[in-house]
Amino acid sequence: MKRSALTLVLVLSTLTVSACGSTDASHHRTGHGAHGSGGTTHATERVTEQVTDGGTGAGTTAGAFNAADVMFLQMMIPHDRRGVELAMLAATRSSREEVRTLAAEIVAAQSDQVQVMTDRLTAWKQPLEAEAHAHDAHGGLHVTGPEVVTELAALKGAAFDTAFLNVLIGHQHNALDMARTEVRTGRNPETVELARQIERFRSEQVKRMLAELSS
Amino acid sequence: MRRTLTLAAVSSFAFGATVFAASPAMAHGYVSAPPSRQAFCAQGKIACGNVKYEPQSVEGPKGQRNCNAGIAAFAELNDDSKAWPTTAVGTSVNFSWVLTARHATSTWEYYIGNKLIASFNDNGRQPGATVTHNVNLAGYSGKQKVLAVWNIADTANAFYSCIDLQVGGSGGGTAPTPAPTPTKNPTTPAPTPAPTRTPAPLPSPTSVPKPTAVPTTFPTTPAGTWRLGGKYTIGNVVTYQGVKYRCLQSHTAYGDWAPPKVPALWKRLG
Repeated sequence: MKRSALTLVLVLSTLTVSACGSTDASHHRTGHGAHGSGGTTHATERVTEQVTDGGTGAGTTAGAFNAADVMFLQMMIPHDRRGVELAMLAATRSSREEVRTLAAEIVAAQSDQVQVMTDRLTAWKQPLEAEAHAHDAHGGLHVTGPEVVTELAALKGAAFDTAFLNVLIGHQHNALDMARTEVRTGRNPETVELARQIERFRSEQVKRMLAELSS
Repeated sequence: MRRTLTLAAVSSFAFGATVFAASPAMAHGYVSAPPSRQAFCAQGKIACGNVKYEPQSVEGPKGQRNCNAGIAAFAELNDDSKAWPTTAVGTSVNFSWVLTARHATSTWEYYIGNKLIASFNDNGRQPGATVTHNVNLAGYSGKQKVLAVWNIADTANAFYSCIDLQVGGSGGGTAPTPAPTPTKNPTTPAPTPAPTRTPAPLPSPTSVPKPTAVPTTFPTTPAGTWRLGGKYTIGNVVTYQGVKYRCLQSHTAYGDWAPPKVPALWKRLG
């Protein structure tokens, strides 16, 4: 039992790296050359279903899960925490009521989602975070870094709103990408449904923020 | 150890294969204000194909002078006869970008027609979290299409955004003008007024069915009177000041978020 758990962790750690690589692979559709061909090498391997399944008895949450579910949760938790940090800046810095309202919704919804996602990983006995620096090879480019929070915190009024909205739109675009990947590749029904919720609500948020930027 | 390595490789394939099949390109950026064509697509203010899901992915080889980066799936971005909303601006315009990946950058270029009207050289640096350029449009007036190009330093690619402007207008805001297309074939029907103020029906992602169950696991507050600090999940119905509301988004009622104040969280039922 212990051995299989350890194996699963190792597999998942590797998966995180491969996710980065396989996302790169999608670049090739449009000829993106920045990230080499890391994603394509995986295609030479064979797959067996049971390896990536969480199986039963992994916790209180019903339903089996796969590695994509776990990685989605592991990536979305820090992503949403950062989103909450960003959104909390708006209460005292934005000059627009609509922006403050939207930010408050983000703080509310994403704080709760982080809790749900954390509880689920815990119930599944999975690490709450992917291996540290798993994305370094990718340049960490898709992550909104802590320095962005600092940068935005120094702004107020209209300058804050423009920067804040552009950052948060980009941040939510990345969440949408992760959610769509989970909808396609996840197995756990609750987690796939969570991804669908994220897809619906954050698409709407992006629309509202884009409208707010040009109003 | 060998066994572990095998499993890892196997799983990599499991994930990589599915992503490779249908993933939107991850990343990278587009002009958000004044809104580019793909920004209007993403807002649902004009009917568009898949670019509405990934306005940040209009990426192709450098040196092009089109709006779609040469990507067939995004060809509509090149369609000048489509009723793209225009934005009224003065002759000094701030173009701001949404970036989902901060690639090292060689230059940012702005064209009208084939003429380069502004260029900003980042010398291979990684851009900041937000990018805004001030561009002088002196000498231009009326309807103009600006092509903004983000040239990546360490790849052969660039990101493309076209922005439809009405130069010499009030200098700000999104003023949806009927946008005559003077250079076009005169038999082209007059474009309908830009639908900025009358959003088209919201395009919902095609692959997303409606939720059929309440998927969350945290404790719920039974239906009743809304209260501060209550935990609500999708479908909960509460009463607030005599009016019933249904919860649209699971949340904890932090702060003064009574249902009428946060329509994204609560739908008024009657």
